[in-house]
Amino acid sequence: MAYEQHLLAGTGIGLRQPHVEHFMHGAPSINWLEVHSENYLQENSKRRYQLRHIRNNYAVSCHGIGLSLGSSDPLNLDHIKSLKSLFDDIEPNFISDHLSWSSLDGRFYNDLLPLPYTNEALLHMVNQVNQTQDILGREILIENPSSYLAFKHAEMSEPELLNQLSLRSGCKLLLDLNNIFVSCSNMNTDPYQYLANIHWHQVAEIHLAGHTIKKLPQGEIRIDTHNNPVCDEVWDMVDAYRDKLQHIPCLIEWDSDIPTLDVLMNEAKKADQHLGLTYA
Amino acid sequence: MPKVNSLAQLQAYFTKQLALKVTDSSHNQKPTATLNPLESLTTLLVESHFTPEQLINIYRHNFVISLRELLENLFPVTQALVGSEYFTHTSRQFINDCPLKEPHLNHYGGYFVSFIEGLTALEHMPFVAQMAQLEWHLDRISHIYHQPNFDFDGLTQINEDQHLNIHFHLAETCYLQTSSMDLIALHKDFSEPKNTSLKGETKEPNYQQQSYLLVLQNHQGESALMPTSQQHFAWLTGLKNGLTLAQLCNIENTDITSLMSQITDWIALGCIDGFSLRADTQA
Repeated sequence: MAYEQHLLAGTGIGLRQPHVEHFMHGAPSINWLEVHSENYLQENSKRRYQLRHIRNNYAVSCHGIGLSLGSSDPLNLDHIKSLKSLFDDIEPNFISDHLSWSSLDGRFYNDLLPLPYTNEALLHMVNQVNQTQDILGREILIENPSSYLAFKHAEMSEPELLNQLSLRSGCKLLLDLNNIFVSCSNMNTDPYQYLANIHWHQVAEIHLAGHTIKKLPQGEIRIDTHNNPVCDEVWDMVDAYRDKLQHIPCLIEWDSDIPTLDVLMNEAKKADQHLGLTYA
Repeated sequence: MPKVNSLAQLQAYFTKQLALKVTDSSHNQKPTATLNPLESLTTLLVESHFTPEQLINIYRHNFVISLRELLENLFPVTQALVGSEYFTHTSRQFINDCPLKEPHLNHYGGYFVSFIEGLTALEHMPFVAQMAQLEWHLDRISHIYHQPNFDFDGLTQINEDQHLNIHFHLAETCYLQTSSMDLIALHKDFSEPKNTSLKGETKEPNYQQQSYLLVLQNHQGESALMPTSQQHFAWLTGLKNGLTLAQLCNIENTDITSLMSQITDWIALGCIDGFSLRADTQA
């Protein structure tokens, strides 16, 4: 089923609580904003009121971590109902969640847990995404997660699974370049090969973020912490794929150790420069 | 060697590895995360420099730390009262015993309060759970969007002979609490760094006194703590329980003039945000 699309353009930033007042009482120059859906579910909350107000002036994308689409549990219909209420209220340009699972037997783990890339997992994701889109009446975007491990019995690569998921469910892809770099570094695979295997016409949004390197006795592992500037290697990926990326809305994600708004805005400007969207 | 035939089995196996196992519930011992060594992940995972336990620990760490940070942010004074070591232990026990059942964190702190209330180790320190309750409501009320808009015109249209049948509504941004301890002083003293430079001049505070307090949202939209008298607390509790003015008048030592004056103040404070007429409740 095809859903109406509301396009975004250029680089946006994640709207985080320390910066909300700037957007309530001013109009910082930024292309668009992304919010974490689960933080705005309560209808009578200040956050919802603030988001309604900000939505009047900015394009908004709602990004979630709670759908747990890859879980073998049934879909959480109460949660989808709450999300639908939020989306009907805010009318976001995009809504998105992850290629992952975070719950089992009704217990939630508040993290994005890894899926085995098997045909069963693909069919399950297709079914879950289809059901979710049908209930919401909206297209969703699915984001590639950061991975720290892979399962031996995988039957396809992550890009293959994402391509097939998009093709079969009609969802679009949210490609997080930092996650690709983190996963490929941790799995000792080539991020450029990953990018080469992506069906770019199915990509509707890009995420850029920073990560942390954790030292373990056997070596370093990269952890997706969103608490740093985008690293040089990820900017190199942006440069290499500029021609494809510059037509796709891009987001700077920064979720912990949140810097001042100026720092975030400068990171967004930097993204625009790398994407060739600004002129000196 | 685990055999995984389906996504559901893999996920059941993975969450089993992920789950914390608290080995001892006494607050004197640190909880430990233990895994059954027989349930090795080696056979399931692509080979890596790192052990399966190290890799699983990244996911475990992410979810446990995120929940623990939530609790630390919600309950700083409770943590100060019991000490960070005990708080960390209790948080881990709570995360293990009372798993998150929703895909968001909006209610999880409320369950932590109930958990603390049930801890036998804190039986003789009920003020700890009371402080947790207070902090939970301070946070909850700070998030509510509330624009007081009391219908004064509607109130003036009620016939005088019906006045005693009015029930004034307590706003959802208003929470009442009582304690055998001075919770406001405790909250103040344990949420601010103590001034230790005034040697010999600091007086040991006496927290052991009955307190009645009100949590409300102030005009800046922030939650605030306000001490109240026993009588005002009784009236507010009556309002919360749906009592009309006539029924409030039956509360001991109630004088209708002072009650009405107080109601006016509470309307101004945003504690009362509406009213309704009940069937005749006058004695």
